[in-house]
Amino acid sequence: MKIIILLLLYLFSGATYVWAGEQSLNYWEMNMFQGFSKEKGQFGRGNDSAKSIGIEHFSKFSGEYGDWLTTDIQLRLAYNSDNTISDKTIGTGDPETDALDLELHNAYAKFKLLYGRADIWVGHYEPAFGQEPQMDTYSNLLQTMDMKNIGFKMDWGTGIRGVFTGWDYHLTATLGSGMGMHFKGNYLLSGRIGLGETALTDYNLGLSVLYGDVVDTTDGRKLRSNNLTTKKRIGIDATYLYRSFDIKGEVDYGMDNEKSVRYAHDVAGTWVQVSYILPEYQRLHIEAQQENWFYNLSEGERYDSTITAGLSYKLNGAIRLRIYYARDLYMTSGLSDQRIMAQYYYYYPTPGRLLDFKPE
Amino acid sequence: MKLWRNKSSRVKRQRFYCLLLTAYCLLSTAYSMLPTVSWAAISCELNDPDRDTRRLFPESTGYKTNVITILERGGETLAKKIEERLGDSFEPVYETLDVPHFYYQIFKGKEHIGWVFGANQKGEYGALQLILATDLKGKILNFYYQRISSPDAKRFRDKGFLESFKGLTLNDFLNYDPKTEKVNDPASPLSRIKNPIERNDIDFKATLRGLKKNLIQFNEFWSR
Repeated sequence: MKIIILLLLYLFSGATYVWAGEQSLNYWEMNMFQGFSKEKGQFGRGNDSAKSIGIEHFSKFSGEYGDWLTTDIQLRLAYNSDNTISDKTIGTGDPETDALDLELHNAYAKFKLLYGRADIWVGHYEPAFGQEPQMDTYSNLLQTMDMKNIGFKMDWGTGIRGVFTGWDYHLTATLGSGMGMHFKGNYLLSGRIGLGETALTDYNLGLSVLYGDVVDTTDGRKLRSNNLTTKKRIGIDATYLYRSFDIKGEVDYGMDNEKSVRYAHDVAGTWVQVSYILPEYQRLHIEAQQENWFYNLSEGERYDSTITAGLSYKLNGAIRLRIYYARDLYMTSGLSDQRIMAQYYYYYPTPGRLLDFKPE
Repeated sequence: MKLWRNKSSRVKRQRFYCLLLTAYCLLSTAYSMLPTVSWAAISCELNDPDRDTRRLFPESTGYKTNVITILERGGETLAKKIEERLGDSFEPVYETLDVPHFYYQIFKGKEHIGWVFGANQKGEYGALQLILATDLKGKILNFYYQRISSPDAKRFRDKGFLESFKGLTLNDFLNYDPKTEKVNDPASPLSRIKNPIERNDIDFKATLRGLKKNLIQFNEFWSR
């Protein structure tokens, strides 16, 4: 946390040093999330969202004849209104019990090599698996399967990515512990090959694999135990832009081996998300997502299925409003729930438009 | 990794840091009021600049990214000037002043050989993302739709239609009036370009308006 605070002070200091050839962009973020569950009543944290204020500092470094480095730091101070603020609920790193905590999202340096054929990144970034690295779900209520599949969305480590005509690759070697840095013999290797360029063909297909020992944490944050789980995954994903529709899907299969108890079982997931822009009213997006997750698939032990649908409305250049309804179609636990989630999301170079509800 | 000696002192420190963060955020508001660039606005950057610039300029060896907003370059005054040259008002969803415009300077070794830049334009079924590759003077070398939601997208992406824009410059587009949706000079090469579909001309007219805006903005930002 000390490091994060120092970075923050540096980045948002009026005296920030600007390197030669650097272009920097700063953004302010505010997220106001509130949900209502039929089973549990009101909740203040869900779908990787809470009440938070945050910043993003993005920089591009160029020499005389080309770019060579991109850096990004994005973090937020999150307030979980489900928990009461006390000595024990501030900054412990446990998202389930914390009322107040700093959360880190992007924190990377990406070096351009061989004109994009072998760019190298180091820092906190997405492992190269499935849809998550193709999307930015940071501010969205609709999330990918990564939290169930891997246990976190971003991880500390390094990666190499290259793009070629009609295809691309991405390989990553990360810690396998998520946002919290833990060293218990954990590691995670992953890779994805993508086919197709959405800019020319409107589609992209991906084949991903993942292997590693992932540490036991709460949402990739606080260490729960020293136990490691060996994860093996293979997955395919697809994106297709059809008329006013943006259609995305992912199917994954693999094995989880909980090493301490020597318990291995297979897992599988399917995920599809559709976003539609109303042609007559292009501020409004209608979105829907369906997710299935199978634990111990071959023995049919557990099966969770959820559908979410809602509206995303761009009020103006600074504010987006979202409202979604989620329904658990089936939960092995028997606790099938229904939820309504609402979000006000602000993202702008200055905080001056926080209350600017005037449509542009 | 134990940063603190005991739990209570750790919590106190963390609380202090949180308060410090909040205070600092408030204090730095003045600094943050300086106009910069936002991605909340709908930007039109290349999906994959490495791949796209290599395809558009196969002889290139690198590119330099420049991010510019109307807000930081002149604000309302510049916006009015661009609107006057365009002959139309900005559209509120895709054309706000804080929209970051990405200009890719293309290099072959040490030689600057061209530009790639794009613009969003409201189309019939969603945003059109219009990408241009030009020489140093702004003459169109290549044009393509990075995104087009029309059911007739194939016809718009037809090679023959896209190539009909090659060689055109801003001067040609200045003959197009987005309000009357007509090319004022019948001798202009622009008047020879025909709508590739029969159903209606909404996306065709939107393309002409978007390209005109794109070239005007390029001219405003980069003419010396």
